Amino acid sequence: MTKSISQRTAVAVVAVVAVVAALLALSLGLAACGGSSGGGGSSPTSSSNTPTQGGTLTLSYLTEPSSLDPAIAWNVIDWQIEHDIYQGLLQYAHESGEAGTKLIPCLATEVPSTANGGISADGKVYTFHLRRGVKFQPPVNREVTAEDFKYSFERMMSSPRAPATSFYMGVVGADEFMKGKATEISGYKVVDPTTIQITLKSPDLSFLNAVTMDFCDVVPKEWVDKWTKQFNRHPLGTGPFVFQKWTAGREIVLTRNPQYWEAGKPYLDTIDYQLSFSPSTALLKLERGEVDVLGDGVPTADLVRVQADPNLKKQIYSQPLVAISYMFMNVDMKPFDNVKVRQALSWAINRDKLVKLQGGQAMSLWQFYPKGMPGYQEGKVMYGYDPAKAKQLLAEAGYPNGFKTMLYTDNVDPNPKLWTSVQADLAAVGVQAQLKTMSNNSYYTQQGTPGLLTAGSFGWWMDFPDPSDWIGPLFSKASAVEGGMNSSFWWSPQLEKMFVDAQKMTDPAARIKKYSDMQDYIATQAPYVPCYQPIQTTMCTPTTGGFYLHPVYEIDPTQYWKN
Amino acid sequence: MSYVPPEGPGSHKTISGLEPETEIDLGLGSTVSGTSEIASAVGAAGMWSPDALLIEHRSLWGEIWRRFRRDKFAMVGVVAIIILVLVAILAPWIAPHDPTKQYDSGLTMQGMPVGPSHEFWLGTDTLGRDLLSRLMYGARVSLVVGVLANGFALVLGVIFGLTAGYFRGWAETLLMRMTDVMMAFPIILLAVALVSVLKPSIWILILVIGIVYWTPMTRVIHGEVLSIREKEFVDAARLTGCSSARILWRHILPHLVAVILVYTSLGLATTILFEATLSYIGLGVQPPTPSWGQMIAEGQNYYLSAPHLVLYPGLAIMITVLAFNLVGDGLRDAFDPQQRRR
Repeated sequence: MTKSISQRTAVAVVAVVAVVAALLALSLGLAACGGSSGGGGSSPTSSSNTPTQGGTLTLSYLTEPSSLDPAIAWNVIDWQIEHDIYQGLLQYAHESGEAGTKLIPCLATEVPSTANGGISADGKVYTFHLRRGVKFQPPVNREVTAEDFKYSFERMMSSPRAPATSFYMGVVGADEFMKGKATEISGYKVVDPTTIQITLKSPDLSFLNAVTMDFCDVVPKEWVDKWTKQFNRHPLGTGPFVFQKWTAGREIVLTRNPQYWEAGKPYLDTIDYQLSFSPSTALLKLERGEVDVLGDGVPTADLVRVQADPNLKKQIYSQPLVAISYMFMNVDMKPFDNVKVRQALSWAINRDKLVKLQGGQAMSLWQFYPKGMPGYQEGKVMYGYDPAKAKQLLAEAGYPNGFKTMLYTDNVDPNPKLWTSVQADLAAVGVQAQLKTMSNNSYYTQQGTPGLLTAGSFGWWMDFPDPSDWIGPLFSKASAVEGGMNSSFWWSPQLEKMFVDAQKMTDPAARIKKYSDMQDYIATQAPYVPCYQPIQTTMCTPTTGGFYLHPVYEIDPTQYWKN
Repeated sequence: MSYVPPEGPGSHKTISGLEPETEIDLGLGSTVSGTSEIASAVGAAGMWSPDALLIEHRSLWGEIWRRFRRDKFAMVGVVAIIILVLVAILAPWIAPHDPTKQYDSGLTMQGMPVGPSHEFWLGTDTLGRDLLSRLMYGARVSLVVGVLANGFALVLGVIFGLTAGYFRGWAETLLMRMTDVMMAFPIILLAVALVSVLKPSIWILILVIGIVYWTPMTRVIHGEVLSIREKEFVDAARLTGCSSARILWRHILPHLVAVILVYTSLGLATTILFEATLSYIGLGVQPPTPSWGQMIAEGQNYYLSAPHLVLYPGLAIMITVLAFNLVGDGLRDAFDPQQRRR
C-alpha cells in the first residue's frame, strides 16, 4: 500500500514469524530506555496502566486521506483512520512486535483453521461464522449479516478504481464476475445469515491475511446507496469510532460508537486527526501538549535534540517497519531498458549514508525483501556499494561516460535530502540526474503513469506478512499498468509462472523457499535498487495511556486512553 | 517623482524660468549645455565673472556622484555590492570547497550537520556540504537572476511606458489597463503558475520574474513621459520635424535616466528577494545548484538543532537586499536634491 507521508508504501507492516523475534529483542531495548539504541519496539507507557474512559486524543499527520472508502483507499493514513471505523472478519492481535502479527477473530467468532473445520482438508474452502448482535453504527443501527459481507466484497471487486482486486482473484467465480459474465461471485456463499463460505480455485496460504485487509471490511448497502460517490467522505462501519466530520485539509473527527459490541471499549470519547501540520510543527505542538501522537513520526532534524532531552526521551517509541525504500527505474524508458544499466545503478548507491542521514532511523537494504518478511535471506547482499563496479557495468552497457536522466521524489522530509544524496552517488559514477521534487499526491499519480517518470524514490509498506504482498504489487504484469504499483513497469513471464506456482503450494516452508528463489531471479534483472528499510520512531504525550506501536496498524487509537 | 535638471549648488530658481530650453543631452553622459552653467555662474556670483564660471563648471554625473558620495549609507551599500559581485565572480577560485560535494566529515555520527570548524568555516548543511562555499555560489544565482530578470523587466517597462505615455490613445488604454490587471494579480501566484507550467530552470526563472515585474516600471515611465511630452522642448523638436522615434530616443529617454537608475537598483532588491522566495518553495534553481532561498528551505526543519543553516543564507539575502535598497535611495536623493531636503 502506498504511504502518503514519507513514501509510497503498503500499510500493514507485519513483522513475520521467525525474523521478527530478533527485531523485537532489539526494539524492546529501545522502548524501555527511550531511544538509546536505534531500533526498537514499543511497550506500554509507564504512566498509568489502568484504562480510563473519556477524553480526546489528538493525532497529527501532514496529509489527509485520499479516500475513506475501504474498497479503494490504500494509503497509510487512509487505513490508519479506517481501522477506527470499519471492521472485517478477522483482525490482528493488539500487541506490539511479533505477537501483533497473530490473527484473532473480529466480526467472525473464530479464526478458521483445518483443526476447527474452518478450512477444508484440501485447503480450498474457508468457513466463517459471524458474531451475533453486532450492529452498524448509527444512524444505520442494523444488525450485520452474512449478506452484508458478500455485498461489501462484491462491491469492492466491482469498484472501478479498486486497486487490490488481484489479491482475491483466486476466489471461485471472481474472474467471471469481474468480466461481467456473472452477477455474483459464486465462490463467496452466504450459507445462513451468520455463516459465510469462501471457495478458492487453489489453496492459498496467504488468503486469511488477504481477507483481513481493509478492502474486505463490511459496509452497509443502504448507507453506500445513500451517499453513492460521496461515501468515501462519509464512512460508516461497525468499528469503535463513528465518523463525525472531515474539514478538508484540516481535520477529521471521530467519536465513540455508543453501541459498540466489545464490552468496555473504546476508552476514548473523541479522536481528533489534525491533518495539516508538518512533522516539525507537530513535534512543537506535542511539546506544548496540543498534539498527543505524532502520526508522521519524529523528524530527523529533531531526533538528536529530542533524544538528548531527559523528559522528551521517555516519550519516544520505535519499531522497525517491514517496509522498503527502493529506487525505481522505468524499464520502458531509455536507458533503463538495458539490464546492465540497472545493475550498474544497483552498485552505485551508498545505502549506509542514507541511513546516517536519517539519524539511524532506518536499516540499509541489500536485497528485495525487507527484514521481517518471509523469504528474506539473512545476511545476503545482492548488490553492495561499489562505484567502480558500477562504472564498469555502465561501460559494458555502452555508457562509458554515463548519461543524463531525471530523478524524481516527493517533497516530504527527508526525501529531498536523501535523494540529493542519491543524485550525488549517481553523479559519482557519471550519471547526471536532474532531481525533481513534487507534492506527494501528484507524485503517486505520475509514478503509476506508464512512460512518464524515468527513475525515482519508491516506498512500499507491508499489507500482510507474506511475500505475495511484494511480488504481486511490485513485480507482476497485472500491476505494471496505469494506476498500478509497479513503478518500474518490469515483469517477466518466468516470474509470473513462479508466482502462480508458489501461490498454489501448501507446504509453508517450500512455498517460502520458492519466494526466496523468486527474489534471486529478480536480482538478476535488477528492476529496482533496494535502498533502506525504515524504522518508525514516534512520540506521544505523557497523558496518553496504553500507547504502543503495532506491527500492522502502526498507531492504534482503538486501544489507547487518556489519563 | 519628477526630474529636475541638476544644476550648480547655488539656488537659481528665479533664473531657471528664464533658461532657454536647449537640448540637454543627459543620456549620453555629456555636460549640460553652457547656457545654464553661465546662468548659474551669474546666479552664484551675482555678476558676470569668468572665474565663477570656471569654478561652477562641473559635469552632470560628477555632480550626482558628489552628492551620492556624501550619503554614507549609500556608500556602505555600494561597498557591499562590490564585495558581493567579486565573491560571485571569483567563487570558483575563492570558495574553500566544492559546493555540491557531500563530505563524510561534514556529518556527525547521528547524521547531523557539523558546526563551524577549521575545515568548514561556517559549518555544513544537512548533507555535509560546505555552507560557506554554497553561500558564495548562491551569490552567483542571486545576482545573475537579479540583474537579468530586472533588465528584462526594465526593457519591457520602458518600451511599454514610453509607448503608452507618448502616443496616448488606444495604445495607452491597452497597455495601462493591462498593467493594472497585472498589478491586481497576486504576483507570487502568477509566478508559481508560470514556473509550474514551464520547467523550472534559471532561464525560466529570469523570464518569469521579468514578466511579473515589468508593471511598476511601466507605471513610473508612463507618468514621467506624460509630463515630459508636454514640455516646450518636445514641442520644439516636433516643430523642427523630428520623427517620433527621434523625439523618444533623443529628447525624452535621456530625461528618464535618473528614474530608471533609481528604480533599477530598488527593483534589483525586489527581484533578488523574489528569486529567493521562488527557490524557497522549490520552483527556482534546481538542486544541487545552491541558491540562498533553497538553502533556507533545506535547512528550515533544523532551525532548532542547527540554526546556522537558515541564519547565514537569511543574512546573505538580507544584506544584499538592504545594499541595493540603500544604493537606490542614495541615487534618488542624488538625482533629486529638492526632494531630499523636504
